[in-house]
Formats: sequence, C-alpha cells, structure tokens
Amino acid sequence: MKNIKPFFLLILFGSCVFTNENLAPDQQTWNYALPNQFNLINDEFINLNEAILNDEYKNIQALVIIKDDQLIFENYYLDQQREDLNNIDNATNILTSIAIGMAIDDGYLISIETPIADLLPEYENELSNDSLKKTITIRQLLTHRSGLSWDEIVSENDLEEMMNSDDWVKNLLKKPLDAIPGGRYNFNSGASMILSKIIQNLTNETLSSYIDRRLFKALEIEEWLWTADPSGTTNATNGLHLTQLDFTKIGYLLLKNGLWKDQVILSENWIYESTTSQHQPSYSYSLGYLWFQFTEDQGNAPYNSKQTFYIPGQTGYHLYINPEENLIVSVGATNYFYRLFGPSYWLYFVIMDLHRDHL
Amino acid sequence: MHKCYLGLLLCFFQYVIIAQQADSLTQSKTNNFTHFLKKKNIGLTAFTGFDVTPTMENFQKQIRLDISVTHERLSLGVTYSSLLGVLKQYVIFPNTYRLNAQHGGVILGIRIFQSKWIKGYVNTAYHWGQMVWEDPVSKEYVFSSKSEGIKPEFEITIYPEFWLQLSAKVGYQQISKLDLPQINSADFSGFFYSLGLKLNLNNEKY
Repeated sequence: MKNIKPFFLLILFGSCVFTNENLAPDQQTWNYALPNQFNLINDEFINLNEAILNDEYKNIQALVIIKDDQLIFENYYLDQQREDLNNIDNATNILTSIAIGMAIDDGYLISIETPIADLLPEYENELSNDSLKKTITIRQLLTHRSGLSWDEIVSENDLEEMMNSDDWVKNLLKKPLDAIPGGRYNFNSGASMILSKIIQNLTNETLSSYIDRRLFKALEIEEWLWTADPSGTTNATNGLHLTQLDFTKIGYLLLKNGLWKDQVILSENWIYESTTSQHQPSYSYSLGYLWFQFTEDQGNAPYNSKQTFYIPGQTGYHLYINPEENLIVSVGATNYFYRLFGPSYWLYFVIMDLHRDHL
Repeated sequence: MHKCYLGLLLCFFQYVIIAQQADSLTQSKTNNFTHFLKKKNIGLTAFTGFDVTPTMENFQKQIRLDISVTHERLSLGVTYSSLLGVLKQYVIFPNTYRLNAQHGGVILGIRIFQSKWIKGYVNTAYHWGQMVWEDPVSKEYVFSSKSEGIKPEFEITIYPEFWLQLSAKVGYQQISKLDLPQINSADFSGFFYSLGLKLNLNNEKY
C-alpha cells in the first residue's frame, strides 16, 4: 500500500496553494477607464503622450486625468514612477487655504476678516513698525493682497532671503508695506508661512500635523514629506512632497464638495467661497483664496472651464479642477523657467481641446 | 506559481523512475505494485493539450495538463492550466500590460459510455490560482488577483484501445473572485473547447 505514495504526493503537490502575494489594484479612489468610454478618442491621448515623451511640453514628470470619477490617464515621464514623492513647490500654498477652511469648520477660527495681529502675538514687534500692518487680515493673505513688499516673479530675492532666515514669518512681517493692505495684488507665496503660523497658534499643532490629522488620514495619503523652517513652522511656501496620485486626491476632494467616502472633510461653503473669484488682478486669471480661475476673456479661457479652479505651482505642479466636465487634470513638472503659466498650463488647454473636438 | 508545475513534474518523474528501476529487488516491488493496481483496477492517465477559453470577448489558448488516477469508471486527479499567447491591453491608460493567468486544482471524472472506438466522460474541475497584469518590459506584476473557477466538461476520447488517444472536450468555465483593473470574472466565463492527447500511463483499460 505504501507504493501508492507517489500518487498521493502527486495530488498533494498538484493541488498546492499558490503562494504569490495578491497585489490589490490601487483602485480605492478611482477605477480605471479608457478615454473612449467618455466620448474621447484614445488615439489623441496617445498622441499627447507621445508629445510629452518627445518633450514638447518640457520636463513633464507626470500626468493624471480623472474624468467622471474614473482614472482615464496616468503616466510618468523622465524616470518618474507612481510611488515617487515630489516637491509640489508653491502649490503647497493651497494647503493653507484648505487648512483655514478646516479651522473654521473645527471652530478654531471665527472669520477670515480677523486681523493677523490678533493671532500672532509673538510677532508684536514686527507688526508694530507700521500701524497699517496690524490691519492685515487672513482674507488679504489668502488673496495675495497683504500689501507687504515682496517680489518673487521678477527676481527671487525676497523668497531667497526669507528661506535663508531663521524665522521665515518674522522675515516676512519685517517687510515694509508697499501698498495699503487689501488694495494692490502682489503674488506672494511666502505669505502662506504666516497662515501656517496662524494655524499652528490656533490648533496648537503644526500645519503639517493638522493637515495630516484632518486631511491626509481621511484621504489615505500615507506617504508624504513636509519640511519646516528653522523655527519649526511648517513650510507652507514650497515644502510639501507628495505622489502625483495623492496630489490629485486633494483636487478630487474639492470636486466632490469636501465629501470623501460619505465623510465631510471640508465644508461645501468654504470650498465654494475659496474657489470662486474674489478679484481679478489680470486679464487672464482671477483669484479665489489662493485658487486661480480662468477669466472669460476671448482667447484666455479653455473650453468649458468657466467654473474651473486651479493652482499653478511655479515648477509646473498644477492641479486643475473642472466641475463642468467633472474632470481633474493633475500635472507634475520641473519647469521653473516658465513660472506660473508654462507647459503645464498649456497641457490643460490641449486636454480641454480634446474634449471640445469630440462632443 | 511555478512551484505547482514543478511539483507536478517532480511527482510524475518520481513515479516513472520508481516504475522503471531495474534491480531485482525494486523490480519485484514494482511488479507487485503493478499487480496490485491491476487487481484493484487502478490506472493512471494524463491529458495534455489546449483549452480554448473565453478571454475578454475573444478566445485564447491555454496549455492544459491533467494527471488522474482512475478506478473503474471514476477518476480523480490534478489539473494545471496557463494562458498562452501575448494578450496586451491598455490597463492604466496609456500603458499596456500583458495578462498572465495560471490555475491549478483538482479534477473529478466519470466515464458515462464506451464503445469500441469512443469513450465518453463527464469531468468537473475546480481550480484556483491567480491572474496578473504584467509589465511586458520589466516583467513586474503590476496588479494581480487570486481567482478560482469551476469547469464542468464533456470529453470524448477516440481510439481507446491504444495507450495514446485523441481527446476532445467541450464545457463551461465559470471564473470567480477576480478583481483586476479592466477585467472581471465574466470576461473569462463561458463555453470552451479543448483538444489534446490522452495518455494511458498505467493500466488504464477503462
């Protein structure tokens, strides 16, 4: 009877359990779909992909497109991969806009009309050198109208000087006013450091800790890196590193009016207020609370993008949220040379043209 | 996955080697064993061939290997199948990946009729394994999912009086528990047919 052993061994081995690990698809957030499932033409997106590969859009590292809650395009270039953490540069600013909304939702902050002087007692000296400085409000910081002297578009002197100082908020608040607060627009990504410090004072935790607790954990963003200035204040100017998919999730939360898996993460009212135009500093864009919008001027508006809001990071990390098309376009790039409106910006226009061409 | 295939082969060769030992002691044991099998009407058969199964709105070949122990009209064995060919598809657009599928399991069968030239069987296989979207360049498994299935089939073998027979099968394959982007269990479920050779390895006179 023991000679029958080979047969039993045969059955035993043959029916062995497959031991390979099951790699679950990363579909917790979005299912995968093809562009042609949304009346788009696959080949045109292939052509776009080829153009990016041929560097026609200069140093694009990643492109993610979410359409009707489905991931319809995700590709990485220049040796980038899905899991790579990249610095989203001054697109980091937008987290302060979201954090202020959350602080209001959580009852830490009553109003964005609150003067920053009331929330930053440790900078009394810096705010005292001009009585008007004490009137700067959170709203003015959120709309780049603080009036603080600052230049990071023509030169980077002020940004560099701030980043070389020991206390970035102190460095900013020491700057003289070159306009009445609330008046002239002046793009100032450094001002987000003041908002970061305000969040820290309101919540007794750093901005990175607060955002992690309130936003990242809810969005299942597990891998991130966020630098701080030498004084320990979270670098809200340009310090956040995220994967492209996680960067995209932030836009998706706003597209879904703050709702994530049946949980309210950010109030709909704040999203509406912060993403609609508060003023129009340029013929080509208007501003919400650090979010940009397209103007409707002829030639400046991409197809069907009247309600679109976006954050144009200077290195090319752009996030476009288009409620009309239920669309997110998330671009990663290293295009510092082009500043805010470079190849990442053009890429969004091209993608919207692909929507228009195939109605 | 390859452990399964390797296991099958090792066992098969182990059996063949034992059966072909030439020294007198083993010869005697082998004769006794063969005699025992013959007396108990126990046989050993193998099937090797191709299943042509539904695969994402199309049909695709899978290599298939069955080895079964038979006793009178009944058979019990193991089955292994692996998707063949290059099936590439957009998964996370614009990137294409190659589908790789391997399953192993058990197969039960019963002979339902026989004539001089033809035998008919009804078999049912229960198999499990995994399907993966594989990066064709790096060979990395980008996504994988365990899956299982049941496969009732009708089989006829032709020329049953010889150790090598032609075998044809038709059946229905029901795959379940598949969770992969762009595909689901229904893409692999449906009627299939199969062609191959059946080998009477030992004493399979039924």
